[in-house]
Amino acid sequence: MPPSTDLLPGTLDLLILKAVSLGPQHGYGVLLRIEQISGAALKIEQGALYPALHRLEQGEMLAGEWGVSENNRRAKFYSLTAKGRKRLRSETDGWERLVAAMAAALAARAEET
Amino acid sequence: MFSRIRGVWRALTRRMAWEQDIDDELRLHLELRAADLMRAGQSKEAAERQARLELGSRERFKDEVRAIAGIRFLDELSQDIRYSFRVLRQSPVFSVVAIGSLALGIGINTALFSAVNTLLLKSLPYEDADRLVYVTEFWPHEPSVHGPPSPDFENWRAHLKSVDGIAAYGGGADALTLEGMGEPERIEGTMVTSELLDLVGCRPMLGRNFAPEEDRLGAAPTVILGYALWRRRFGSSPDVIGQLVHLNGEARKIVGVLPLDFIFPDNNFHHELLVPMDLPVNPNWHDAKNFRVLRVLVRRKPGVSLSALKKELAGIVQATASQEPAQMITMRKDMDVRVTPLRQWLTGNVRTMVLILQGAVAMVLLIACLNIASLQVARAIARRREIAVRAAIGASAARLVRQLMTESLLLCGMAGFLGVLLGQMSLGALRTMLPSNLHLADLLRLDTSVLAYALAVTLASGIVTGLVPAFVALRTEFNSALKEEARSTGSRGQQRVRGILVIAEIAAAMMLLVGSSLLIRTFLRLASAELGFVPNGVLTFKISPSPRRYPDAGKRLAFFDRILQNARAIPGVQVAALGGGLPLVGAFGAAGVSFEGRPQPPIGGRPSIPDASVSLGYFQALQIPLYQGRLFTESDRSPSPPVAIVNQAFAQEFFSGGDALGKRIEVGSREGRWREIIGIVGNVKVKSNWALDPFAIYLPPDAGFEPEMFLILKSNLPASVLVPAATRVVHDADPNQPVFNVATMEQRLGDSLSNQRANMILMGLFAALALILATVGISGVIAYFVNSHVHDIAIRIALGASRRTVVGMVLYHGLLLAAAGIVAGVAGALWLTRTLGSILEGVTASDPLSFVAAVVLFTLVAAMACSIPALRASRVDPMTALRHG
Repeated sequence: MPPSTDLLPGTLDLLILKAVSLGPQHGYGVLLRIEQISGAALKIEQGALYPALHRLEQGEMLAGEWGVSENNRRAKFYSLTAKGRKRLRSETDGWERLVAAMAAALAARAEET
Repeated sequence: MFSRIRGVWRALTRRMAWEQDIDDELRLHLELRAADLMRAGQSKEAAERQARLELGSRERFKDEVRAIAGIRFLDELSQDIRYSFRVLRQSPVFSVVAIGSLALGIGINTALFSAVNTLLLKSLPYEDADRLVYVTEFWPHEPSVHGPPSPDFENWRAHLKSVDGIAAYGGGADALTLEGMGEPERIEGTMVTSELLDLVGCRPMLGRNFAPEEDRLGAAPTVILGYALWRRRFGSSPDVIGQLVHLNGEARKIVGVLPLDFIFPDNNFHHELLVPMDLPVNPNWHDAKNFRVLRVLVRRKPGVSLSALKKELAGIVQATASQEPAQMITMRKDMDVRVTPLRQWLTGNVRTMVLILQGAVAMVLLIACLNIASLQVARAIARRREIAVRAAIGASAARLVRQLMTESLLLCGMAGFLGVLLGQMSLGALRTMLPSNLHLADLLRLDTSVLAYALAVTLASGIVTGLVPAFVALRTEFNSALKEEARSTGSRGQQRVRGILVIAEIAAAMMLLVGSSLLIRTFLRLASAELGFVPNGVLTFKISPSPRRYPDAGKRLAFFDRILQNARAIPGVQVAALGGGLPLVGAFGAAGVSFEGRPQPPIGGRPSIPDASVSLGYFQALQIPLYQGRLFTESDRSPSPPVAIVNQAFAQEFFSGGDALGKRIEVGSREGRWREIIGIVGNVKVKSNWALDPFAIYLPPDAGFEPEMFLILKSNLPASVLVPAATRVVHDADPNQPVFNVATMEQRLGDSLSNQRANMILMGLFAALALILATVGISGVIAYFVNSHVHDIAIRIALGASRRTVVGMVLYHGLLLAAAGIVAGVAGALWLTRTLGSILEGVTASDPLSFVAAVVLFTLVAAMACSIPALRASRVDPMTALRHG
């Protein structure tokens, strides 16, 4: 198992949006998908997942729809709305800028400052 | 935002389904997770357990989701309400006192607001009532004339352009005798022009309105019956239309019946029946018989201002002045046409009183609120531990304030509910208190606007009573509160807050107390005012012989003489007399007076003096004292030289020095009929106001009596025996002659003061309430002071302070608060009682005695309120107090 990292605050929403953008998922599916796409490097607090899903649904980033799961249970599938897609794009841009800035800052050497 | 509201709504309406959804979602998660873990090699039990652990508390999760969905607020609210109920149940005495006093406050506010609403705010029960305007004329040289004469009305009706309608009704009661249907009955009706009912939008229940030509002289006589009369005398028969009814010996055709709910709220408008006016076909200033003084009502067109209307009315009078005889032009010199919106005209005299009373009850409610606020502050201090514990386990400050506000609003909500019930019950009492001539009183209702007002008042009370304690509680240092012992005294700041609340309470109560003592003084002054006559054992009623059967003065005189003779023969009657005017009732005429040997003033320039013709025995029956000269005798009847009796005020004013006796004056006519003044009698109180009406002239019946006379019987017999006997006497003289306006002089005296009595009782009641509430407030604060200082007091007593010193200390503390409140109250009262000016009589608004009385009363009550806790303080057992402190 690779070493896992705690999430930075505010990144859970972004990860959920990303995971759902790859195709409608129920809650547990979202969890697995995040672990999968992050190479199991990011550890999601399971208790925080569902409030985040509901918050995003309330904010109309996600749309919830009831369907049937792989084990034939009633399951709520989340999919990305247009608003969610826009949000994902802007958050991703912001995140990339932040990462670039952080990388630049951390790569700085003493004589360059 | 919208989706959020929808979310909350969905969540609320489908709460069960919502819970189920969340459970389903979580169960699926657990199952899938457990399945994954089992695939990784764990046992079923271990896998399920780990799945649950990883997900965490399901309840916490649900709670978070609920908060997201916006339901938590409602959950917390219902929690707050349940908690508040528990708190209120825990201190039942506080709750009952608080709810009771607030309910009283809200109740009287609601009841009085319904009066304000009906009398001053709501429109009259007519279509577009705001456009109805009352028109009067003021003649500076003949101030006793109130209203436009009929020719002016005719001219306006013909020429006015800025109105949609104009109508008039008779200036006085038109008393008619209903005959030919058994017992003759005196009916009070009103003479109206044909447009009046249409103008106020009234449609007769049966039949029709008067036709336009029916209010002309010489038209076929018609009548519209009032609902009550139709019911009482015509058995509610629908067949009355077209029937003939005999009124004053004249057959009139019934053309309509008024609906039950028709009212015209003017005390000069009588609803028993309406007869059409008898206006001449052309405006005629010279026909004295058909010259009437009218009450005129117009409906102005939308957008026409009062001043524009007034200008047009005055302009028409000006333009038609050429029709007037010279004498009339002189009398109407500088005449002013006055226009008043109907509502203002009808309620002008009660407006002030109703507003003052509304102010008074608002103050009572304020006192009640301050009281509760003060008690709540004390409780907030006592509950500091509880509040601190709640804060410590995670309640936010906002949540705590919300909890306290919920408590107050709950308290006020219950009080408001009871208050509205109370208000509804007290409406009946209020109706009887309002001046009886104000027909609007019948319209008092608790309608939606009154209920809205009650709701607003309730919310305001909740905020006042909740905000102060919440503020105090917020400033509490939670940590120190937890550490401190339960007996903690509250900080100086909190004591100060309570002190200020109580001072404000006392000041408000003081103002009411001063106001009510001013009104009590007014009433006492009026009640003890010199009457100038003795009302005891005097029965009076009116007789009005039909002008058809008694067309001339001689016939009338004979009729009255016969009644007088028979009345004197009633066993037990000491004196019987007739008078055209009566103390307290008035009904005196107004006659221009000239003095022999002095220059004749021009027409309209003579002093106008109240006069009345009286029979022998008038002064004896009423025991009006004779100061000089003699009373009338049998020999003063014409053709002997004409005589007059004047009152003392007249003699002093017009014959400075009092040598009036033997001088000659002319009363009314200008034909040189000089009357010798043969006697000077005492002044009598003619109206209900404080001042004696200055002048009066009494004439013997030499020119015949007035068309309406009062029969005055002085007797020891009870009214129940005397009234039937007197009625029989009248019916012996003329079986068609009704007897009406029956009352003893003592009853008339009571009636004449009824407005002042109602003012005094209501204001006194409110002041008493305020006093009681303020007493509760101050004694609560002092009791709290004693409780929190038990330690100090015990130490003082242990160190040898006498019980008297302790009592003195507590009393001093209480009276200091009271004194501050009283000073503030007196200052406020000096400023506020000026508004009472117009309803005070015989006392000024800054009457020192009223102020002193209020201050003394309040000081005594405050001392009493403080003395109970003071005595308890003095009985503190130092050993017990110190050991347990």
